[in-house]
Amino acid sequence: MKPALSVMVFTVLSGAGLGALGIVALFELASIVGVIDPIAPAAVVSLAAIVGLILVIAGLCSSVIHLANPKNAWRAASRWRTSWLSREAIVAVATIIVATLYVVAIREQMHPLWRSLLALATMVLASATLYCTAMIYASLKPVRQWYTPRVPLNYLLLGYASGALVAAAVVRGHGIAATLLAAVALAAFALAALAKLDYWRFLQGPSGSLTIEQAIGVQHGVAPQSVPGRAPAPQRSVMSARLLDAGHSRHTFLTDEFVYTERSRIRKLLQAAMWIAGFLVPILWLLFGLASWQGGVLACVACMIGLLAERWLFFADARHTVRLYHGDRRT
Amino acid sequence: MKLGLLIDLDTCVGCHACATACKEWNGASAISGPLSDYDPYGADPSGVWFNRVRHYEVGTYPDSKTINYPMSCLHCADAACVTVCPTGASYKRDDGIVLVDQDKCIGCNLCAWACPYGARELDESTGCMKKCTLCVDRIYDERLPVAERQPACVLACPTHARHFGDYDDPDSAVSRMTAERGGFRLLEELGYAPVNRYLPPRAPPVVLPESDPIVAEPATSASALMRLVQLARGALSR
Amino acid sequence: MYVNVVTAAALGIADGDWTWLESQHGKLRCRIRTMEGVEPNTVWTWNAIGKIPGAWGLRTDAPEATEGFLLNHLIAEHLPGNVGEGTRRMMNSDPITGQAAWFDLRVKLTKCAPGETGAWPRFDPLPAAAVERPAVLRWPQWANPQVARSSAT
Repeated sequence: MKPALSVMVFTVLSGAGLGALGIVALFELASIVGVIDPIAPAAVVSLAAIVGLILVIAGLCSSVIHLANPKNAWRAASRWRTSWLSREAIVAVATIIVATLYVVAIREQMHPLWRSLLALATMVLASATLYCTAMIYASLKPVRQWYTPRVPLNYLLLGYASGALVAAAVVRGHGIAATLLAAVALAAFALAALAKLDYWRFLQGPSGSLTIEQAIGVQHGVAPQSVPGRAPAPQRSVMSARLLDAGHSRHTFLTDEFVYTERSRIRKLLQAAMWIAGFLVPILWLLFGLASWQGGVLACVACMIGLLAERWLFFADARHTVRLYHGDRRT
Repeated sequence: MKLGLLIDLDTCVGCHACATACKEWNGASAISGPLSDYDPYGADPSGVWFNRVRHYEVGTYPDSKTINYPMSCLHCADAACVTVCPTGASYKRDDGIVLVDQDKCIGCNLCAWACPYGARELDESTGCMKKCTLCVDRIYDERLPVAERQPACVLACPTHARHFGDYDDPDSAVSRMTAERGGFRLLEELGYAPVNRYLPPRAPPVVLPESDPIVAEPATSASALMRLVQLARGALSR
Repeated sequence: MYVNVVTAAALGIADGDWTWLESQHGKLRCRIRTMEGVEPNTVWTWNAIGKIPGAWGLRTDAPEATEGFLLNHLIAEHLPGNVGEGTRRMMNSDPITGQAAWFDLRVKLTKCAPGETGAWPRFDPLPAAAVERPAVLRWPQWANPQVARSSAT
């Protein structure tokens, strides 16, 4: 699948923003209930939520760039009954509205009941948006690399990990509760790394793979010919199929969009970028560099770059069934 | 009502007449507008086609078979493109035809990702997805004689490899041929229930060893007629 | 040019390679495609895809000019025979239809050296046609002639 930069930027930025909102809301809720102390003064906490909001909005703007015909974009929420993209549009907008109210509630030091309700709503909506975004991909049967619960799991974990990192970068290391935030971020990165490794292992396996013979309906062989006057032909054994001619000598929309394969050298580079920038740098900062706000900014930027690489691989590893009609032997 | 096409892989010779007829008809059609071509005079031509014919080989020499595979929208009963479309631009009509409303489409490409068959293409000059309309503007056009109220591709096919009809009607040609000759669906395991079916190609000719006997055919009026024709041909060729 | 898989392998040529195709009469360069469904000692193609640069109003960098080839360059117009005063040479064509006799042309196929790519022989481009060549062609909607014809009943 051709990696579309605007979609990648959308999922990375919005994912981090939603994760940040969710984590901040979770910690606020815990502190209102009394389980932990507040992770920071109200102004700092609201700043973390604002940064999260900005990331979400920036991401959504990027997603609109991806549309070939954005003037109809306002219609995108209308098919929520069946379309995950519609559902995502609705919960994303709801998250922005509720999160904005939540920021106001923090800054205005509103009654704990209001703050806790808005925190809960923010958490639920942010998680729902992460889930709906991932389900846009995970609901597509023609892409067996995406049609798995691993996809929403990975996206939620990476969203929370990057979001917790952003929150920790804003809040930094004041007090035990803030250290707890950093610990949660570390745990999220660890879980996300494990989930990523499991996902790549899943990709290597044959689960759900379709063949070109299935795609053109010759998986059981080709029907025997009956010729008058001749003994019946022996049943053919199953024969392998291959593309002879795609019917066009240059590219098409389908080959541009789906028959994209990056060179293996690039793949290794992207994997390295993902692990180093996306995981190692943030983890190192969380472990040793919490005091430094410059380190925090670096860690966040590195994380975004690493996750862009991860998203690139997510798209480039996808093998849509339409490739079976264009020369692939199996998906 | 389940309108759809039946494509006979046994008869299709891969001439691309159906693909060209479709492209030409839709140039004049108000449903999707003209199908854009990009750099048609230059080094890297490409364009929007609703119908494409691809060619596959099965087996190895001397027992190989070339199969010509016209593919256009299969107008699935449970169309994935309709399910995922966020604006409702992709919709299925009561007569079974799946269409794209050019006034609602946002060009997000999700329907193209959801369609396992690659039936939809983005027209970059309008920013909307386009696909086979089953010539909805031909089949109901009462200005046309009844025999011409069929999709352009069906009418263009020189070997009559394409058929159009209602699969909900067991007496329609498409239903009968599907039943008689084992018409099959593409990628049925994905569960989208494509309405268009394909009739299977016959096996490649058997390369018989010389020892294989030719079984004598019992005399029938048909075979007597054939012998008469062969005699006549022999007489005429001298 | 379509070549049997085994034949191509025996000649050391892979699918998509540029090759020299030679007959007694001429020589050209073309890409090959390997396939199963062709007799091992036969090669075939859709002819007349190749064009002189600028033909059909196409730009000179169109693939018809840069990659297309024309088998006609390999086929003599006359059968070999006596050439001299008082003799008529036989046309190298089917005696009933007069069409060019492709099927008994013997050719030699060899892989091109690295760098020997693109159509050959090359010809000077035709003078630029006075035709509009838009980058995006949207064949204009017109009153469809099929409908117009049919409604004249």
